Amino acid sequence: MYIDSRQLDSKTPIETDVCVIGGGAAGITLALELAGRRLRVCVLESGGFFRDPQTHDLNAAVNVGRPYPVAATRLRYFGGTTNHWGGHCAPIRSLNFEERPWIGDAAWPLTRAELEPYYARAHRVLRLGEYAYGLDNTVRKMRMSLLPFDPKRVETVVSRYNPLRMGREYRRAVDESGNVTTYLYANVTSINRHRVSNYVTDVSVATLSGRSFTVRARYFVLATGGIENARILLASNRIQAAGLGNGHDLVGRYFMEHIWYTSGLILAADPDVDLPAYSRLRAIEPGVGVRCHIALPEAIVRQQQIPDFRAEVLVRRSDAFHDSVQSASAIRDDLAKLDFPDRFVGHLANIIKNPAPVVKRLWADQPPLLYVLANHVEQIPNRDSRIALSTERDALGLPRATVDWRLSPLDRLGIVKAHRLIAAEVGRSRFGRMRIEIPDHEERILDQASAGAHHMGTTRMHRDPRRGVVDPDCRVHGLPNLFVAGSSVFPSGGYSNPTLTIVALAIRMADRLKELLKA
Amino acid sequence: MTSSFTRRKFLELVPTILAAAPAFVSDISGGAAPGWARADLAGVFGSQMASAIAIGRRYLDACAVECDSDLLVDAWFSQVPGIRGGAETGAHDLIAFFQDRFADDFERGDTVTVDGWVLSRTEARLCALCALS
Repeated sequence: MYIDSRQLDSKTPIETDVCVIGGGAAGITLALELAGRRLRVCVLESGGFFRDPQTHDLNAAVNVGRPYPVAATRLRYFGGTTNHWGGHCAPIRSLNFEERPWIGDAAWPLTRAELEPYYARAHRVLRLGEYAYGLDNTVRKMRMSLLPFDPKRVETVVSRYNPLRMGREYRRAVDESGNVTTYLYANVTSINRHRVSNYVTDVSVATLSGRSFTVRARYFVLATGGIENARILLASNRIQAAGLGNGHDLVGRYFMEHIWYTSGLILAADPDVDLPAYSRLRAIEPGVGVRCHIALPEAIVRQQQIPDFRAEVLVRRSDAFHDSVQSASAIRDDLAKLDFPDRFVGHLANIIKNPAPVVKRLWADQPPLLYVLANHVEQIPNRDSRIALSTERDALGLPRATVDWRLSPLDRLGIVKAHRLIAAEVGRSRFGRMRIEIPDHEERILDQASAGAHHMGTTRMHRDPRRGVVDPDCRVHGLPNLFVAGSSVFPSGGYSNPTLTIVALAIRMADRLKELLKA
Repeated sequence: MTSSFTRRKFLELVPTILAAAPAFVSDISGGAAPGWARADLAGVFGSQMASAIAIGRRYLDACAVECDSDLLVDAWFSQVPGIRGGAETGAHDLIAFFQDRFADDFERGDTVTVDGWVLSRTEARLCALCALS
């Protein structure tokens, strides 16, 4: 059932068993997993079924750090950011769950093996088909050519894609569940704790139309995304001035992104090489695509002590480079910034080209083939990279979030090392030659880097309440009936897009809630 | 010290080596592997020579200490199998030898960076040789 909170006239608190705050990937997954059970579930969604400007404006934040497109990276209606995502999915690698002292306090308090069954179930929720990411049962089965790299040096990894619009896909299922009531246009302005006990008693809800009400529940799940989760906890400060669950000044800290950095050119020796496995999505099952990327093997990442690294391989002919000043494409604009006096790349192509058997082709004016690396790299957890509260207020009177996204010199060094390793393998394998393009000196670390729109780490997971906001069950330390869902609980981000892990963790949390509620 | 005759032939073959064109060579020469005395390959592979010179000049800008063709030739000449035998070493063998050396350089991390491009030190030196000659 869906209720428009703007029409609600409720002086009586709404009573439920599980109150899910947020109707995005995590919130909808929880609703689906709890549907049909002998318990009452209430979902509080800030928006409606479509984007509206006034609700979207509640997402506006104040950027106090390096450039960061806050408004563009969040959506505030049923389905959340699945309403505009690219559907890119892959599990987080085992390495990322382990202790990695070279990137600080980043271990997960659970293992990849523990999460594995939930990944398989998440595949069904996200309609990703078979839970299979190995080369043999994906691209090799499709007889696709791969880069000739030694997988012990540079490996090919597979992602699956299905840009499922979860709001649209599951709107009916949630409606017809019988035990789930979704309140649209319902904005949580405060999570309220009992003065004496540590239990959350209720949440305060307000609408832009001026209505307000409260929801009481046995269990609450905050599932509003990495920025908003922190914001709501920090703003829930009637009893604890620093914010709910913030006894150790961790809420909002360790804000992580995936560093998105288009840098690195590979010149193929063979002008006729074609590697669609990397450059294009290929359908592996109805509605599901696969695509390959390159990554450093886990053993190399450990040996080099760098953050985890993956890059998409984008194909361009070098005449695209020469025409780049005319092009509006982001990749061509990047190439246009490169300085190639004397047509160096053409000279290099002449030197390294490995001709096809037909000699005449060698003399044809064939532009050399260039690959551009679109790096998608793990950020080192950085305590000073954070979400905090601004003095600016939104239309509901809630303080807006401030976003201070920071990178460290080790983030840059990790990419430099990775590129050197890839360049060595490009040459060793005789595939071609690579250009490393990271400037030695920049005013700002990785000045041209942008973000993957993945908000992670702001309510990180750790067994120790002094080092984490939530415990391994994603329950807020010290608050037995408040859980947090979404990528804000990630202690580290790996290189994988987060949605599959978000859904897996939500399924795991739903199982926990069912145990607690004996449902 | 190598003789000027064999050094000249070696230099003529450098672009061929860099182009890694065993099929090229055999096709141009009508199917038979050319010996030392055959076509002036620097003339045939004019475009590659120009490229080699361009790259070589960049390399020498960064590594001025190697601005000595004797040093560069001697660095490699003695390592090429049978090179002193003159006619016994065909272009095909030379190309294969150096292609393996390039790969070995990358394997060992013996690379140089020229304008951001990561090259095998051997190939950069061969280009430098073209630039100096």
